[in-house]
Amino acid sequence: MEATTRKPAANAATTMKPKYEKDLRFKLIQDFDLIKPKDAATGMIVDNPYPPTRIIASEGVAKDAKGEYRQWRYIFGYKSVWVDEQSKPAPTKNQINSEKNDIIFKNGHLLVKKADLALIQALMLNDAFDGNEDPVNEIPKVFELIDDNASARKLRSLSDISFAAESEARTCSLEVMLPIAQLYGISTTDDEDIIRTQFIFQAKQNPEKFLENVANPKFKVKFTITEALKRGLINVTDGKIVYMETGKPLFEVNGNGDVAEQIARMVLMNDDIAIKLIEQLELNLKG
Amino acid sequence: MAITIPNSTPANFSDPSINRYGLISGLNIVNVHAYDRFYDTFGFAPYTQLAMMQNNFRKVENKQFLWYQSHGRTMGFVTASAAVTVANGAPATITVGAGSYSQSGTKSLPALGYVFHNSRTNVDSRVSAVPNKTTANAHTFVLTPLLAGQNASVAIGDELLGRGFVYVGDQSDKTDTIIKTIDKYSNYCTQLRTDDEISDLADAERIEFMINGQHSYTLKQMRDTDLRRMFELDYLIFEGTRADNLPYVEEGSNGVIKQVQANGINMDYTSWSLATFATMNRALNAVGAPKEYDFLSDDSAMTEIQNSIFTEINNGGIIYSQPGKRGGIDLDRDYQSMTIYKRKYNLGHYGLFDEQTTYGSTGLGARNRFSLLMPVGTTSTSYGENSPTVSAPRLSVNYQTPFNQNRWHVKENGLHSDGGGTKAGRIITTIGYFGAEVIGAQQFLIAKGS
Repeated sequence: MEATTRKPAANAATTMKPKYEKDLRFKLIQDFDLIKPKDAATGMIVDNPYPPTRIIASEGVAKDAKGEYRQWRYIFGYKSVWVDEQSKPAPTKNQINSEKNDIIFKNGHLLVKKADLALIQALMLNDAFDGNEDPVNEIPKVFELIDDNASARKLRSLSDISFAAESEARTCSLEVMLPIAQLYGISTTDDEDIIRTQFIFQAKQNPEKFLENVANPKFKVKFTITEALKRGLINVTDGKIVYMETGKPLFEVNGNGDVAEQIARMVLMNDDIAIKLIEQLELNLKG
Repeated sequence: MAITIPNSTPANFSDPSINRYGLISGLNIVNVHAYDRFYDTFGFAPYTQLAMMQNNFRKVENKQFLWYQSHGRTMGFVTASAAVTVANGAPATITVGAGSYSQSGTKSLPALGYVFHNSRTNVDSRVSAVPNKTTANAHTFVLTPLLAGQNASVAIGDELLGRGFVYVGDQSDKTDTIIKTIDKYSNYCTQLRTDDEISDLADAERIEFMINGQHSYTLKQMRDTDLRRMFELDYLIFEGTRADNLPYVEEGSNGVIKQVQANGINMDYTSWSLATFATMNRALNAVGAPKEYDFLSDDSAMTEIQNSIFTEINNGGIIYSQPGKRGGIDLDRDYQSMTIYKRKYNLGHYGLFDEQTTYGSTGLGARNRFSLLMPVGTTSTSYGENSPTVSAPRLSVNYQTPFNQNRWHVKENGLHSDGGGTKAGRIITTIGYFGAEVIGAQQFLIAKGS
């Protein structure tokens, strides 16, 4: 396993100073998509969802290898981050105030040279580090080590999902497509080609959600009810669903609410009458 | 707890055995005046009100309001996404690093003939080719050093600073236009409402003490509500958040802190010291920050900041003698402001960040050892056709006035009001629509002790 991909054990930084094969990349955990400015021309987020400048504490208290509290402080050029080991010679005021000690995430990211072991140790001792599983203070985690292999796997997984969604959108039957198209607000009365084009576009927009929607039986039921209402196969009279062919009231619904949603829920809860109604309506619609 | 919701008929005063004059005992007749004073124990200096008194507010036409800011600096740079090693004088093909793109990775700075200065190696190079500017987030360009004896190699993360289209030669052709990105910011006005229902009997019930010279319960209730509303407005402006899980359509509103967390400088520290001032100052300088700040801190942060200054100043900065004083001096070791590294900080304690002060609760909370630094002064802007450039505050409390009402719209209903209704009493409704506009959040700073 590569050193850069290893998730450190609890306060691993206290006990070891591993030699890293690659420079390490850290990133902030919390993003601010909703608040970030958008490009005035395109409406897209300008650069990335992180704050432009995030300064992490360069000193603190951590548990050492013996589990005892010990002060640490990152001073550029000092091999050890433990304050009691920084006395020969003791750092000058200028060294303590030096900008080289600042630990700053720019646009959410921080690249640390693999040789800067003290900085790596300082980052991993920080209570705000996601990999520090034995912090002195339980504070919200602020940053994490980027696992390159995991990132690659995630990227490939996203790519796979995107491919699957687009394939589904291009090849699925009309019967599968129409309920989901209706969900996305696509006019289901247009030509199939037009519906399909917009359908593919929706699949590309958010592939994961798209696949979730396709797999969700609720939308098919909702589509059936909506179509049946449109074609007058059923009606809501006096707060009850009436199957028009027989004129028989079947069960109560809230006529002022989303009738399709209510019936879909009943079907998913295995309500016999609702299930039978849907089966009958599907036959009617096919006919 | 101190308050209850809903505030309907005032329960505290509805029990006749407590305060009806008709039922007082002989002893009460003697000492009733001991009870006729009322003390408001806890006050508050709302920053929002102070800001508004300084004209830092603006009426907006729409619930969602927008403002535009230039993106980044006038001069641009890109980073190298990976190390490239070449021989002296040879061209190096470099991929533009993350964070150097705009418009979803489709635009980046390198253009044919543009000169870049490598900040680390001090080498100037010219873009001799741009093989790929079509693949999003993977633009490549070729750098050739201006001097044959120099090297265009880059290390990962190297910052390449744009120097412009220079040394373009005789009869040079048109160069690419460099367009500075404009950032569009948005926020919403959201509602803050209070309703006070005061029944006829509650008003008829004389309370023992007087408020503004009257025994009326209404006056006390309105005073309490006014004060609470000031807190609530400050919380809305500072701590407001966008909402996406309300059972009705309402976006909420991002407060100053949310906007600074997203777009400003966020700094953690362990113990406040001169080094913290130095770090903060460097971060502010890096964003071209102004020279004066309001430094709003909770109690803990204020204490440690004052202490850190005290230990730095010779003799703690104590004024030892005051002419005309006999029998001792007034010792003062508080610092109202401090100018350090050419920047002035107006040190203030802001009660809103102290849960214990504001609520009387026991926890210290997320705003313990918390400071918000807000630039003092204005920036320039212009709006409307042919309008001149005007000054705009860095924090504007934006508001709306639906139906052309006042900033705080107050309406009374009930039988004992002019607003109509048959129920015996008054319902006093107050509603306002507010949102925070933070101009140049990049130059605001949050400091949080951990």
